[in-house]
Amino acid sequence: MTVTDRHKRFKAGFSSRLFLIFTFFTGIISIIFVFIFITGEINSYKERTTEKAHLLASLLAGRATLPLFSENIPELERLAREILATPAVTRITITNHENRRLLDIASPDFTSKQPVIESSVQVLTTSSTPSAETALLGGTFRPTGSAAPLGSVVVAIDTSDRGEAIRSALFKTAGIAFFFWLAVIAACYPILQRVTRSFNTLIGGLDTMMGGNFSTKIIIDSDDEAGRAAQAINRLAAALEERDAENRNLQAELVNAMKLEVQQERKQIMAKLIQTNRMTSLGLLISSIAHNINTPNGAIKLAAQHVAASWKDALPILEQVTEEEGDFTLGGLPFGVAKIEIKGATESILNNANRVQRVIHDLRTYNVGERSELSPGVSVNQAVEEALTIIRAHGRQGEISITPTFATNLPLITGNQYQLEQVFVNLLLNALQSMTVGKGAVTIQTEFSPETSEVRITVTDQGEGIAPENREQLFEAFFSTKIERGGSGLGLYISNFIIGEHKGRITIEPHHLCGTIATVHLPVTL
Amino acid sequence: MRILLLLISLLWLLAPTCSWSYDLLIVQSQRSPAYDEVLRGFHSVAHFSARTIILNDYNEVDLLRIAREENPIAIVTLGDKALAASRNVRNTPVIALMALSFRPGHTGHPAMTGVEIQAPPDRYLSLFNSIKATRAGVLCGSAGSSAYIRQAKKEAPRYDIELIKRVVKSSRDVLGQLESLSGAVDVIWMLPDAVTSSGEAADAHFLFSAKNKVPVMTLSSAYLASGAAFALDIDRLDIGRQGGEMALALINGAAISEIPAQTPRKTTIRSNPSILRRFGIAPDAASLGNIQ
Repeated sequence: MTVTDRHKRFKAGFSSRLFLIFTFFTGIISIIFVFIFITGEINSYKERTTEKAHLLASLLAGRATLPLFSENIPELERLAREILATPAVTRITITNHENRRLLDIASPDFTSKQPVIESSVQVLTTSSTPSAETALLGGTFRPTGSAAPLGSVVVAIDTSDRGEAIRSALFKTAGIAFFFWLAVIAACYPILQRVTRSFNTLIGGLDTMMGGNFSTKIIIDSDDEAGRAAQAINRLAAALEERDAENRNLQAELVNAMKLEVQQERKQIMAKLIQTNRMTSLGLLISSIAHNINTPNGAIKLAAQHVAASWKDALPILEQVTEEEGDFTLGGLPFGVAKIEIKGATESILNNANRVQRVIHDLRTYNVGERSELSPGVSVNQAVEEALTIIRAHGRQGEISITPTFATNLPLITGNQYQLEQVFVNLLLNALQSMTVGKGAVTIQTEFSPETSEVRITVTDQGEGIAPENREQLFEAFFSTKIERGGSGLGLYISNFIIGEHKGRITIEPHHLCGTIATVHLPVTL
Repeated sequence: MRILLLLISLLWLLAPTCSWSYDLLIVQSQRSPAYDEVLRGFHSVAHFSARTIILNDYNEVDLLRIAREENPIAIVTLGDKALAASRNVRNTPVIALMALSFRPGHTGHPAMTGVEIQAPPDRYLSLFNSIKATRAGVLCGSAGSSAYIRQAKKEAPRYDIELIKRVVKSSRDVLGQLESLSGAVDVIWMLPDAVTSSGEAADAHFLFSAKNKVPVMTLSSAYLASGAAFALDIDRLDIGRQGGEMALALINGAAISEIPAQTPRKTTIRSNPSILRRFGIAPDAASLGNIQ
């Protein structure tokens, strides 16, 4: 470990920080103590000097009462010189009651620039001895004028040694404070080491645990807060270790469960993909069939037209033959009957060929799913009729009746007729598939709501209805309750998407008797 | 109705006459238990009809007008202030009590009598004999005390006492004059007068006493605590009686000139045993008994 590392570790250590803080604050407190002491010493010096001057002035005033009363200057000087002999007394001034200076003496080394503190005391006549008049009255009465001053005494004390005294006090106090500080920090470090030992043990144990090793136990060698914390952490570590094992087990179980679920979901998705693929193949098949049917159907249609045109040309000739030669049989029928039958047959051939062509066209259109653009002038009734045509052509209606009801005043809307047909086909297929018994009635009704300016298409069935738990998922992709019956789970998802593109909405509610009511709301204008 | 109006008018006219009809106007310098004691003695002589005025209770009292309007038989003064206020009332006899400044023959008033505050000099001289003092020092500051000292000097040889007098012009001279008596006297006789009656002057006496171990004789036991060795206390009740007797004589028709001033009849010697012990003084008990 380098010196820098050691220094960093020392600075980061708890006991080191405590030591530094303690050292710093002890130093600050020592400095404050020195400052307060010196401030107090300065004030105390001033107070002491003032007090000394006052005391000496009072002493002199007490002694000088009678000499001042009799203005005995030599006696006053003698008394003043006694006081002047006191150290630091530099000057004494005595004045009489008229404020006339009777005496002003100073020590030999006194100069006018010397800093001094003066105290002035009045010399009063209020002695304990009563006047004769008072004595005659028993000494109890004291006339009010008896406190008249006889004069005053001023004692000046030299304070030039104040700086020296304060410096001396400062050095002494600072020295004491410094040694006190050194003693405190010298005693403080080992004490802190001893006090924080249990704490360091605790921190070492925590470091180990932070590495993920909860099996490590912190050594408890004291009963202080750190020791109790170590006990608690040991218990916590044991509990964490136990929970960790439980978590691992739970995680393994969860992974297994998820694997199983993923497998099941994968199966469902694969089934849906297969269904989707089947639908795609069906589309291709339809396209192929349409092509293979359209070709002979076109030949049939062409032949039928040719036959009709030929029959139209041959008929006047044959009628003339009949007039000339009499009735004859044609195809086992008398000509009179046969000419009607043949005309009907050609017309039937043409009509059915056209019908085949239209069905094939519709199948192709539905399968290709082209033309996703929205355009105005779309008739909802026509879209419903086309959807019904496809459903009927689908051939899975069985014994279920489909009853359409078309509104006569239905306005044209802006939309895509083919996509709408796809929606209606899906809804009708769902209605048919919901009636599992193969019997019942399905109604589809169109209407216009002027209040909301929308067209409503309602498909009602008498089927088994929708379970409450499935209602929330009706419009989700690949959600179907008929997967095993060939459902793709995309019908309502796609229908909802298409209606959303038309700025409309689909609601599916249970019928109050039985079955389901699916309603498509389409705005007249987008 | 007329009778009622007549009665009211009569009462209104006579009321002032009834309320201010008295014999004696007692003028008191101030309120003091000592003066109350004197007055008790005064009234014990007879039941006097009197009006009392305490000067300290008023800013200014016109005694001259009061005496002229109320016309008392005599004015009785208690204290120096009352005595000074009464000096202007020339037409009314004055009886002076408890006044330091009252000296017979030096009153400055044509009709004044009273009781001196000082006991007769022979009592002091006897006391000096009892402590075997032969030289007595005394400070003299006023004409009144000069007369008293002259009388004392006259009697001193009879008691084998040399009375040494020092004259002081102001109270500031007291200390110096006392110093001049140092070693020349066996006892200091403190006589109160206008110059030497201040507390500082008394202090100077006791300071001299302490320095020179000379006992001080005073006129009041109040000085014993301050350093006096002896005090010749007057009997204030008896002084009141003496004044009462004078007033009664005046009421009974005697002329003021027929009533001479008196000295206190009763005195009591008191001493400070500590000071006597310190100075080594043992008074002669027999002599002391004679003084009382």
